[in-house]
Amino acid sequence: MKFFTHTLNIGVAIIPFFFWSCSEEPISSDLTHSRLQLDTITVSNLQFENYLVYPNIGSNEKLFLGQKNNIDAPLTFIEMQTPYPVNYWGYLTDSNITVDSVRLFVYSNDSLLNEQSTPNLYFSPDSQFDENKSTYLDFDGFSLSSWENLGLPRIVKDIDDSLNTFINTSLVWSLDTLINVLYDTSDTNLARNFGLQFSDNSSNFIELISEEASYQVTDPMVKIYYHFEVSSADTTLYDTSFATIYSSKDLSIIKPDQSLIDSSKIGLSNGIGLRTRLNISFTTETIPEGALIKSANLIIPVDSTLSDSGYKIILDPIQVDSTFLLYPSFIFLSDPFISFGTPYRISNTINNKNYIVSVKEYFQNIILGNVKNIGFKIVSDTKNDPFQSAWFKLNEMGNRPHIKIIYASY
Amino acid sequence: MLPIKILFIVSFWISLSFSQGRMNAFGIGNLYLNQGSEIASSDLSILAPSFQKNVSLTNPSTWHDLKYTFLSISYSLNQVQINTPSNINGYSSLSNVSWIIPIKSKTSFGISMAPYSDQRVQLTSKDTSTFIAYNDTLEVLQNINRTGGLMSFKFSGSYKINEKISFGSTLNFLFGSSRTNESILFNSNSSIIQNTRRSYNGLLSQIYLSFKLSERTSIYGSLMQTLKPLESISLKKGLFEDLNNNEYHDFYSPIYDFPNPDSLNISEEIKLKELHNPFSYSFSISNNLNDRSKISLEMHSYNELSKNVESILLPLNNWIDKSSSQKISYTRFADDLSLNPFDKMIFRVGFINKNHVLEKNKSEVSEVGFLIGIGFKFKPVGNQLDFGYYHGSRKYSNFDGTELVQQIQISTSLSDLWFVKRRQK
Repeated sequence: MKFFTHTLNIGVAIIPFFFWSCSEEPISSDLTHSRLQLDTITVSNLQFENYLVYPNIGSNEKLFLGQKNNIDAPLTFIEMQTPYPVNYWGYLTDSNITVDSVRLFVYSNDSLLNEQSTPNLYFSPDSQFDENKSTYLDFDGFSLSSWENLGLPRIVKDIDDSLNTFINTSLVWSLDTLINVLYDTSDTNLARNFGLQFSDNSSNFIELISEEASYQVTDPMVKIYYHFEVSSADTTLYDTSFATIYSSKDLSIIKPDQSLIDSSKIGLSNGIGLRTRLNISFTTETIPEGALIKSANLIIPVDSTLSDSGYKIILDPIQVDSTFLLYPSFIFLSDPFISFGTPYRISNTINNKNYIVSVKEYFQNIILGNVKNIGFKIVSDTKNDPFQSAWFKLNEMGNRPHIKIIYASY
Repeated sequence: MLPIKILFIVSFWISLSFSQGRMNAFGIGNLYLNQGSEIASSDLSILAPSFQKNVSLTNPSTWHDLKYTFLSISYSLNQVQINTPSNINGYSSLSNVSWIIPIKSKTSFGISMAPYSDQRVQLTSKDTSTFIAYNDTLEVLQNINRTGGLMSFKFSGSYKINEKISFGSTLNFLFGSSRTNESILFNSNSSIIQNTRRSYNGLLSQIYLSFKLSERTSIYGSLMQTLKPLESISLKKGLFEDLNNNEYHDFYSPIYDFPNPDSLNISEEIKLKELHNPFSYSFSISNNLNDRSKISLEMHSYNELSKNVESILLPLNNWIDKSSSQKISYTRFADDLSLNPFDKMIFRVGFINKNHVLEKNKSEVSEVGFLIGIGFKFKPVGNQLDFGYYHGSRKYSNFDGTELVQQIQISTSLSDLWFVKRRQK
């Protein structure tokens, strides 16, 4: 028994040792034999190819009308939503209130906008466009003549009274004549579509604010002004108020002259629908197996004389290429390349000389065998001005497109 | 209980010290064979008796001379001080647990567990180097960090053929694991790390011989060979960029390390054979100066027969190919019959000279050292508490400066009478 008692005591005695882990001070030594080594490789076999997609600028933060840079914006559509949970459109026929007026507001950042440079407003109760898909092809031969013409707007400059600074310009149309049309319970497909168009072939060009730009503040909106009776035993009072209904979607139809595109140049433009496919010779064998990419920067020289500064460009690896189904088409109804998106989608703005983005994440996953390299599509950010463009300079001696890769291998 | 309390207090304070040396960076690590004494209850000699008059706990061919069953536990504290560049490291760990059962003074059986090699080492490149890539200059610092080591589990036994000759043998199972990180630190910011985990197994055998030449003189010998060379299953993980420098491949850091751990495929497992294939022999002669004193000489030779050591990352890109050592030790044993506490004490002194030849460039590592030890016997059955202090100086032919090696060993051995039918009270 004593044997085991002693053993137990010894065990208790050595417990402290188990709670002190050792710490070590590194020994400096020559480690040139380490198998972990850094290296670089430059990939310069890059092929660029333009392709065209009929332009849709539904995601742009602006609405356009007019002509600029050989691109025509003949029509702009706005569709109003049916508010939920309170359908304010019902106020128009509500016997408990009296509607005083109904107004459509569309905003612009242009302080110089005047009534001579504004478009006419048209109304149709039918849905006319798909914000994300409609292109000018859908409106070939289209006319607003059958729509109800609501005329030109009144221009209101919104000024910050305290600072006396310009906020924006409101284009205000009266919809009083539509009171009975805007809320028609018999029409189950009532869409409340508004169209904007210049009355003639004017050379005007205006920019308005789309509902994509903000949340409600500067969205195109309809305001219903009304009053209602507040009665008590001996007095009758009237209170006034208004209800706001915001647009659910809006779209400017863009019609570029695609015949003017210089096929010898590689560029991007939302208004033209010009996009680029990029093929890069990079496989699992380009760098050693198991290597880790420290950095991989794609550098494409930019023709700054033709490109607009601050132009934002997106590089997105292609996941599915369906061009073989559409061959030999050069212009596509919708983008034939389905891309990966996040986390491989990357973007950057061009600087004076180059467009530079990191392709590290995607290339590493090519090495790991998680994705196959079937190329990239290069597109303009949807928020870019569709009348602007960026052009690459691919054949300058000593400054051709390339990818600089720094990697570690073991 | 007093010795236990002393052990507790001493171990508490000494365990605050810490260590590593260049020897840990050779081959499969620093063999415990090469750092001071194996256990505190012996002097530097492995074969010649130093625990008790005729018994060495590290030589099974002497175990049957134990009167009682013994449980012996040793704890070791090691410190290595490198002069150039100045660096002090240390570690502490259990160095041996043995359980030995003598049977009728004729045969014995024992099991023991002890560290076999220590692979803990942290190396960093001498200076920050620059890597120029595309007109950018990256400042890089390389590191190799290896942790873990090998343990040895021994089954041993002895058999006394006659009063002069006895044999012992040991089966030594090697097992353990290690983790090696090779990294490149960029601009003191993030680093790229290669992480490899290995598990090891191997089997060695050793035979021992004790031969009593005369009443005063005995000779001892041992031969070790490999039954199954050490092999390893290596799990090589993918390279990753450690963005927060915590050496772990994080899913969440604030941002995950690169690449995302989810994007990595299953790590590759590789079986590596014959990483360690030692062959060694030892010879010792001891002479009783009187009833309680003994002097012994011992020689040891070691050869690494493996040609595949290099298949694992060697932190210093070299390994010990040959070793030889010469030891001389003096032991004054306790007087079991005396009531004088001083006579219950055991004194040990030893000197050692070691020489290792490295495989590549045939550079040499030489070490001279001495050990002083003291033991104290208590209780009638001969429980024993031992302390040993080793001090050595190690020189490398291809490194500047010297390494000072210090080791403190503490050991307690508890005994009891087994296999005796006690009379019922």
